[in-house]
Amino acid sequence: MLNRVATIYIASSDIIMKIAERKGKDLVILEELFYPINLGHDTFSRSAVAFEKIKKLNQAINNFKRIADEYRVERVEIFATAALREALNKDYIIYQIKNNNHLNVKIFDNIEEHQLIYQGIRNTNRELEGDNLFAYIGTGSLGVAVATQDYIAKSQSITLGSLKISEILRGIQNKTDEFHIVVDGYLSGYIYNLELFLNKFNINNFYVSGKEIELIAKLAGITKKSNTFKISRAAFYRLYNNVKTKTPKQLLENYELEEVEAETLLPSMTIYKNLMNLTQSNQITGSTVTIETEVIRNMLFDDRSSELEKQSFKNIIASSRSVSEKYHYNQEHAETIENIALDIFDVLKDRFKLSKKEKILLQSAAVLHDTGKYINLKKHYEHSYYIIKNSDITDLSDYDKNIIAHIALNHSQSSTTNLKIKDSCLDNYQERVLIAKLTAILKIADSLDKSHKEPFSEVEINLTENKLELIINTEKDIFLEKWAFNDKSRIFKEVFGIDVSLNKKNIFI
Amino acid sequence: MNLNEPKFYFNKQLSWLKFNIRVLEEADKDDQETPLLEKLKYLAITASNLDEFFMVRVARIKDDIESGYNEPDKSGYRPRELFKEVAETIHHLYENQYKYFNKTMKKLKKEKIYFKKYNDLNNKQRQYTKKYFNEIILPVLTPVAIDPSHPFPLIANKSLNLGVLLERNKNENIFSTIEEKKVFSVVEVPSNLQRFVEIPASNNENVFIFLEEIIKANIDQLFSGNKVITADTFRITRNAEVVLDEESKNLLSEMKRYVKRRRWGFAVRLEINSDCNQYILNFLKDNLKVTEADIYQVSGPINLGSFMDFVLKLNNHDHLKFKKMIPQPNPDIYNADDIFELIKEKDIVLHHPFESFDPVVEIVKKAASDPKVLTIKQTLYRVSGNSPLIEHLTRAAENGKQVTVLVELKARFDEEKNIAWAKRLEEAGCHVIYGIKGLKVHAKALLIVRAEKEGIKRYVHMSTGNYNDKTAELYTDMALMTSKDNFASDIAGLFNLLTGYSKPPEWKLLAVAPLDLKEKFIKLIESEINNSKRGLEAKIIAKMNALVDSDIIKKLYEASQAGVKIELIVRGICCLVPGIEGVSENIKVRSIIGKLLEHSRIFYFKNNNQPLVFLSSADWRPRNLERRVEIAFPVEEDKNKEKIIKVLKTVLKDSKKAHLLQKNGDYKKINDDNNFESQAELHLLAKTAFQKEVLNKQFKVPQDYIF
Repeated sequence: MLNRVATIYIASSDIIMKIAERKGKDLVILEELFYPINLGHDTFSRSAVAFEKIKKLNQAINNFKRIADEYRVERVEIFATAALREALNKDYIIYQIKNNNHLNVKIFDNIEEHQLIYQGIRNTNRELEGDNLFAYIGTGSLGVAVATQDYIAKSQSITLGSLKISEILRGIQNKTDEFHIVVDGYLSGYIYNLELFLNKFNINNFYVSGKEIELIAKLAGITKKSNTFKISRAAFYRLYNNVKTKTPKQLLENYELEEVEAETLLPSMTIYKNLMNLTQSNQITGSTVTIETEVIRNMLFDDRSSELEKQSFKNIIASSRSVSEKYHYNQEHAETIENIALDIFDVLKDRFKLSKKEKILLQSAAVLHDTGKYINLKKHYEHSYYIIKNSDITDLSDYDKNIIAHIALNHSQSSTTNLKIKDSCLDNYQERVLIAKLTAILKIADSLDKSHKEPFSEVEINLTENKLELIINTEKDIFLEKWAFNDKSRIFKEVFGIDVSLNKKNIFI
Repeated sequence: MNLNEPKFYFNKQLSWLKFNIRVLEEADKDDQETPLLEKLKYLAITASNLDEFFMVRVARIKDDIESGYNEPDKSGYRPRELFKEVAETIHHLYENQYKYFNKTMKKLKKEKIYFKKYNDLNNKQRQYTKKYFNEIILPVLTPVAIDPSHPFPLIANKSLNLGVLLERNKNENIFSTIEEKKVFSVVEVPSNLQRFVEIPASNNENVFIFLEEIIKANIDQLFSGNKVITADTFRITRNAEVVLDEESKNLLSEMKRYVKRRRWGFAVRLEINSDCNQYILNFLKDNLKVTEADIYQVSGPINLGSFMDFVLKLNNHDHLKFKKMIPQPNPDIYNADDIFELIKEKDIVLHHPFESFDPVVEIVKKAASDPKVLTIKQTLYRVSGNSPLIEHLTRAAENGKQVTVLVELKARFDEEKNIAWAKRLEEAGCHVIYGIKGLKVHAKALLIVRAEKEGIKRYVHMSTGNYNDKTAELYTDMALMTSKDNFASDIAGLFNLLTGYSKPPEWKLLAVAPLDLKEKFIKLIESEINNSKRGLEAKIIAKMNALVDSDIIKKLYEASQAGVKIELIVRGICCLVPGIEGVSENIKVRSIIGKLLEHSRIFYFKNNNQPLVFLSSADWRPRNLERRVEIAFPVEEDKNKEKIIKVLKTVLKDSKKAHLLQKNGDYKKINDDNNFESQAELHLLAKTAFQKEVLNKQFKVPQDYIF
């Protein structure tokens, strides 16, 4: 177990280091360092980070490491979000950091970034009631999620951060006195989609995290006493009405803001205003949550990570179901397959060393694999593939989604020899095997319900040295299933190297 | 009402001169109050203070005049008017200085301490000086003649010289190229030799002769064959400022001046003996381009500043010195087995020199070899010659600790010294940083990081005074030792800011210049104003070395107008005018000139009976608040607050060494019968606190501390 760790976060306008220590069940931040380098500006307006800034970045990391060494920390983790993720020259920056500072930069995708923040919000607001809207404006992306007491029901991330808006709208600012209307208009398309997204939910509480909301609270005259603070609708609007008619320069002077803060204040307030109006909440509950602190928490607390994993698995499945619902999936069929697949998985897991993570990927794939039928029954697996790839599923990284999409893509293939890998980054031994293994299990489960009419409620599964045997308790003739089964079990045999058979339970024994 | 009117501000330079006059007056007290050798010391302090004043302040006024800058300053003075008044004041100051000096010299004779002229020496003594001249002095003398082919030599700033007027002997060829009959030559009095040469004398007598006297007496030897008409002692002071004036209104001309100044600074003062030869005087005047007002003819030895260390030349004259004030141990620290454990339990406030500076040196020493200590960080501004701190920090680095030292090379007139020990630290493996470009780092902070059983614990020391064990015996300063996390992370953040590793964090407890310190003080004053307006009793007590900042002065006027009672204890410059009806009648300003140099900066705000107390490295002047890195830190624990409030109350009671500033700018002594001396009282307090604690705990009182 680790006691003292550091994280270095390559954020959009600062490089941030936190050094923290475990104190009982809590963590103590020992030092926080902020080195201002506006990488976001380069990435979002020029698509690549300038040479001088990369040099500075390396120097800043080097200095940070020195301070981390002073505290003899046991591990330093370095990560980045949009500012680096979306930079065209990110690979070389990562290479240089590795070379100069012996640190491997992990790049969080939007989902991972939001996942950490949602964890944090949940952590600072233990008692959630009903449906709640979580929102977080990163500099590069906006994340929104519907959360219940137990899990995230639905989440979406939009490539729309405050800095990004102000970069895009820069230049228009000077041409209009009513810039806030332009911002509103620009956002309206996104907001319309969010309205659809939130449709069906009845949201009473609005939770927000991010430095923008802390700034808004400060400007609204709200003093933070703990990790959470509340801004009433009225107070929010009072400030918004003051801010909306001012140029960043005026904001800079009137409110003593930093330049970046002044530029992003109106866009972020507009986003929050619109989001708040999608809920019935009469206040915004702010949480001081940072990605760094959440990463530190995960580094320091093992038990927490298993708890989070459980939580996260719940989120993945809830969110997968929500996506499938959107495409009017056959819920009954999916649930049957899900159950059988998981049963088979459990029987196989020890012998074939299958992980918990693989189980959740399989389960999500079982939920999602037929969503493509919404588009067209013909080649539905192709449609499933891109629906999965392009949907936001809470707590699933792009990589995970890619795996699931490939399972869906291949669930109609008959042999490993024609396994389809569309994404070259998955086209290697490890990923091919992973996709094949999970596809194999899914296919068997799928074949047991081929008629899609009368699901089998009970399946007995036996694993012997050379064979996996599935026994169905039914009086019905299972000719159709057996036929399908033989066809669909080929991949299984090829991957696991054991035979597999389907039989009817002998009712006389 | 326009609070920017010049009548609401005293002039900074004139106010400083008044301070120097107050110091000088200590040399005119009766011998009981200021013993003879201490009088010499006050005279020396006044003189060396003036040296700096000429090199920096007077030079700047002359610069303004020369560059044609003619705007009135905050107090309404234009450069020419100011120069006139400054020069008049200093001329008057010189008169008193030498009056007091000669009086003291006379009295020293009664104590058998003599400064003799060569002619007053007996034969034996003359022989001794002759020998001394030939063997020690002569080899290092370099006479320089001046004529068209030997232009006026570069005479170093603050060096003591003899101007020698010769009549040329035609048969001698050393001046063969010179046409004129009269020749002027300059001989520098070697600065590496003792100014006071002690010569053998009969029992119990201490006889001294000035180095320049010996040279004068033997001057013939330098100019063989040429007739020496006369030799006069003189000293010039040059513009020595090679940095931008931090408080100048006229920044552009400052910049131009800066470029010009890279050459030798021009002469701003000529000191010469009062009975000097007129030819020599005119010659110097012309060549140095000084005016009548810049010439100070003195009836005594030039440069009384040399008397600073004179006392070291005498043994057994304790009755001519102040009774030694021995710093007392802080009772808490004295009783603690482990200073780290103590600070973990509670904050400690130290008041130097009434309480000893040793714990500060000790904690660094301890940290250097403590296996639990990971890191030591410290700011060093002016440290003592052989500072034990440097030694301990060096050792810490050698022991594998991470040591970061912020060295401020720009501490004025200490630059060379600083470079030397900074190199030493670097060689030992310390991470030495040389401040921030354009900002002097004046904050005094020490951070020790320990990995303890329970985790990381950080110990912080913050002070109003420098980490200098020598001055800690002479300057009054206050310091806080704490292990509270909020202080620790603020100070860690301060070091990260100073090393350039991080932008400023959100300070939890500190206020930091040039970021938010001034704002913080303004807000604190405003809050008293608001309290007063709400009918609550409002009060501010602020103690500092100088009060110049006009934003703060204005805010204090507003506070006075709102009914806030304000007590200011300002040792030196004070530009605020107290006692003006409708503006500042609620403000009292007093200045303490005691045996110890008042140096602590303490700020008290009544805050509706929940007092806020701050200590700071900063004075209320623009250079501290805007152009230096300074900190102010709150003292939180009640017991410590009480200790500090008690100090302020004691200082405010002073009726012996305190001067009250009048609205006309005069400083008036408080003459009451109490004759209360705050510094003596504070020492007594420290002593009784320690003794009480020791008696309670039945410890044996160490002999050193009983007197």
